[in-house]
Amino acid sequence: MNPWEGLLYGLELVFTPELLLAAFIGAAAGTAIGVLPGLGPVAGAALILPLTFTLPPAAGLIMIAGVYAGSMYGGSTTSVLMNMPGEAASVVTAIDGYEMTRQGRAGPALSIMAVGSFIAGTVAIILVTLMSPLLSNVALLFGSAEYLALTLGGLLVLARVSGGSPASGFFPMVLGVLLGTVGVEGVTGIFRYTFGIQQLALGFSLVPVAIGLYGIAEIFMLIEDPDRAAKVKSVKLRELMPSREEWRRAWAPWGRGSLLGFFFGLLPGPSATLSSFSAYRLEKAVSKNRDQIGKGAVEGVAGPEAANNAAAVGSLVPLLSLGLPFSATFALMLAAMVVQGIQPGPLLIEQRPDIFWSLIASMYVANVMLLILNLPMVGLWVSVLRIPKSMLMPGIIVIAVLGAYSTRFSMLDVYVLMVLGAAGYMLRKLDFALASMIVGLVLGPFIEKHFREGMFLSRGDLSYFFDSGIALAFYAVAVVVMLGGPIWNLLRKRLIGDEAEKVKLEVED
Amino acid sequence: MSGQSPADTAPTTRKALDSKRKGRLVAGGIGLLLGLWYTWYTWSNVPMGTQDRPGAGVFPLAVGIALIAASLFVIGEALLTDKVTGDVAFPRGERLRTVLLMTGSLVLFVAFYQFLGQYIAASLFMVAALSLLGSRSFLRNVVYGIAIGVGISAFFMELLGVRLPEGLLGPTGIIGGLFL
Repeated sequence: MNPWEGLLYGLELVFTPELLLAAFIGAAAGTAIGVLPGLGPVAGAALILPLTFTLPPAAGLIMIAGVYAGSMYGGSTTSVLMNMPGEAASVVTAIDGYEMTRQGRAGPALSIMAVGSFIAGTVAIILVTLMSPLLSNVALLFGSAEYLALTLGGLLVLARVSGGSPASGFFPMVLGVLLGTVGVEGVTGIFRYTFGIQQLALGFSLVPVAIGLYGIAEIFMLIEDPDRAAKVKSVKLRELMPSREEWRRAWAPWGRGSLLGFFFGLLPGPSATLSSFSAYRLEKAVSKNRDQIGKGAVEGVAGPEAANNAAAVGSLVPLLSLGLPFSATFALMLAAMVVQGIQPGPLLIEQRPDIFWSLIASMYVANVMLLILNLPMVGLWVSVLRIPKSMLMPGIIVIAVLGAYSTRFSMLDVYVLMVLGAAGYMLRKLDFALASMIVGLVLGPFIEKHFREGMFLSRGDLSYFFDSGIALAFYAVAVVVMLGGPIWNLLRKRLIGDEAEKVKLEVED
Repeated sequence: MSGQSPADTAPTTRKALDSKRKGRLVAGGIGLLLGLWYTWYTWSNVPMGTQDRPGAGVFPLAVGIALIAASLFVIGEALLTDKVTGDVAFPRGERLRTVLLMTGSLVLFVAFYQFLGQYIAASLFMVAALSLLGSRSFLRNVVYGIAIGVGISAFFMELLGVRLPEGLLGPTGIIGGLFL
């Protein structure tokens, strides 16, 4: 099956009432979560994850894809309407988007954002369709040394890039890897750090850890700071249409943002956020109307929004072809796949083409769903913010608790949720980057597996890990990113520009 | 005149150790203790194997050492640099009271979750939370709290078929047993 046949096959599988309903529920729940300040894609995916366990594999994964795309879109909506980004990737959209709102052009800003997200999603899906099978073929050549370099190097790069300061990323990363060592050890079957607690034999489940770190911690932040709610500006349906001039100005930034975003999506790290900042910077450098950027320019909304959506889709490439998640949301998607008995990686496309292609198609369906549903219903999504917080917050807590419990029907997971909620609250207050902790928990066992496999294969010869040119290249990149602080700062400044100062890149895409 | 004497700069450095840096010192300290204990426990309890057949303890040992290093890094960064500074804004007064009472309600919700069951525990938690966070009358809080608690529980248990604790309403519970 060539990539195009595969994509058509995936679309054919996805266009069933059941899967469309799953995409609809995911997109709707994701948007509702995205418009709430603080609750972003990770909290959304973590809260919805237990629900997906009761569904067939394709429906579950489509629902999570919908949540991801929906929460990004919801975050951008509040950026434009209220200057209140729902998540980090939308921060830069607020600059020109909110300025457009102040000039009475909120509707067109939302339309440009939504259409741009759709176009970027389409471009990225085409690129994923073409690249994933190719990369899967390359990945088949990987041995333990290459996988170890990729997972270890990728994790270190993620920790360095996502934390504000070096320690802010590395410390939670190591804690995450440490949590991943608890439970029955895979090779020899030894119980590690279980202290006689039977339920710990399976280790820490990702769901309560992610819901605790992102969901519970953030809800308590909202409870202690009621002022984060804001007056909502309503937008009428007839005000949504951009002018001909606005359409014309949006095309080029959409194209540039899509390609840039996709490229960022392939890299480990907070790709959606980094790409949105870079796209903004790019527009400031090359746009014909660059002097207007920052003052309500269409380009300042179109470029970043296209970029963050393309990056979100681009991140599917390493997940599907290598089986490695390099963001917290995709770590959750990996967990959902594993629970459903699917092991992503180079063999997925051969062994489960239905899952592989329906997942790619589902990202596309989620994009279409958002375009059809969210734009006309923008008023409804914004009205989520009008629901009294006194009802919304405890309601989410109840869902978090039952979600943690239902993962393995174990109270231990609920206790883990509470402890990690408290830890997440404190670590957030102290500016630590939590994404690296979640990815560390997921990638830690991979790192150990490839390390031990390599040691067995090479009969204890450590030089085996450095014999491969590919592995050396991965390590070299990791070392450059980690040690090249001044280079990184310079690069970040060049890529992202002065807006870098407006947000810490402690992000959760 | 240019430059400052060491005597001038010393108080500035001390003053710069704000609450966020102090908090990170504490976090680094806790991480260090955890790392030391974890490394010691791994070394003494988990098999290390041989070089060509590494045991279950080799990777955790490296993780323990990495945690010690990362914790020292956090401590060093907090003490010697101003990369992360600022005040940790904890709630005060009425807001602190609300946060603490919500925490208490959540702890009670979890503590009695299995005994009371999803429906009753969620409803009671919702009533308590609405009373703490909202300004409605007690009767309204009870009505809304039960409606939301029962609504969420029914959605997951009846509609989606998620297996959650039935507690008092289950076949072995005091209330559920009456109807068998």
